[in-house]
Amino acid sequence: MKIRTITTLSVFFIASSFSSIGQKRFFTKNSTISFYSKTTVQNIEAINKKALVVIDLATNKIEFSVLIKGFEFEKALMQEHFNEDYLESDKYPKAIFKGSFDRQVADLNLSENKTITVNVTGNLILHGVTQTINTVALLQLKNNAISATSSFKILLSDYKVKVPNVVGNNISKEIEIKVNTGALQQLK
Amino acid sequence: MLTKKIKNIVIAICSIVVAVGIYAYTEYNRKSPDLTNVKAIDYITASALINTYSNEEEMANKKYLGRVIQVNGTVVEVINQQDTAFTIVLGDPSFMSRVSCTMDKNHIVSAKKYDIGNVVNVKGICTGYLMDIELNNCLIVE
Repeated sequence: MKIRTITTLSVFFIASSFSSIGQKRFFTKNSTISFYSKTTVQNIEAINKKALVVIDLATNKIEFSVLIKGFEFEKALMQEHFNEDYLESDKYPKAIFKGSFDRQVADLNLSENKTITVNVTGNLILHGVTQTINTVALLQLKNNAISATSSFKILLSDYKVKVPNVVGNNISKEIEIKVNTGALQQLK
Repeated sequence: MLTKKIKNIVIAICSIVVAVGIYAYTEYNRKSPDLTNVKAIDYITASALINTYSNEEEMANKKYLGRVIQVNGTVVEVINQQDTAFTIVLGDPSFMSRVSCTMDKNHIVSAKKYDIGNVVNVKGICTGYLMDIELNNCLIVE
């Protein structure tokens, strides 16, 4: 059995073991991750609505994975340059974030309607480069469901993403990334 | 004579500039392609695609990533994200992974005719493998 299969299976087996001790593990395959580049010349936005997110309230961990080719742009040319020239998605098909909250949230009552602010620290692997991310996230509890939102900024140079000089003024050196998980399902 | 030659050169240069301008404008504003008339590089069942990716993701990516494929399978789930995204999921309840097909906005109406249990052919662009194999810009091939 190959590594990928083991990884996929492990998500479920680990999830199952957590569910048996506290049922605090949640996931969704339909989270939205978007990014924005804003310059005086042009604003660029791309969106991916198929990100995989796992939140474990028992261990304060959050992970997300997203397929680079799944980002959709308004203009096909931008999408092609993004995949072929900048993110090299054939070589690096995924971006992965693994992080943790700074406070205990295991005792939260899911039936309570409330929003909690947490600090998140973790590693983002993008374009084959790993960098530490520190950000703030909002955990929303509503009607026995949990969802999360967050945003943070990254520098393209930190991830060795090279933008040709000819379009240097069109693409911001700093990219804003927004994460909106939507409602996560509890693993049973 | 010379004036006429210069005039022709100017016209030729202007024509080239206009043609390049039109091409650049069209190319810059080009939208993602509708796959109706795009030929798939492979026709495969959902089960076979899942097996291929589960066994050897890297090899599967070399073959399918970014390519148009047509997948035959049984609908196991329909996800309507408030009409901003419509996804038909193909697979087998006994498989952990599935094939998740996000429909092209222009083809959502025709996709809504199908429900769980229907066997369909979906054409789309393979964007890779997380927990499921993901296809974008999809349409149902009747």
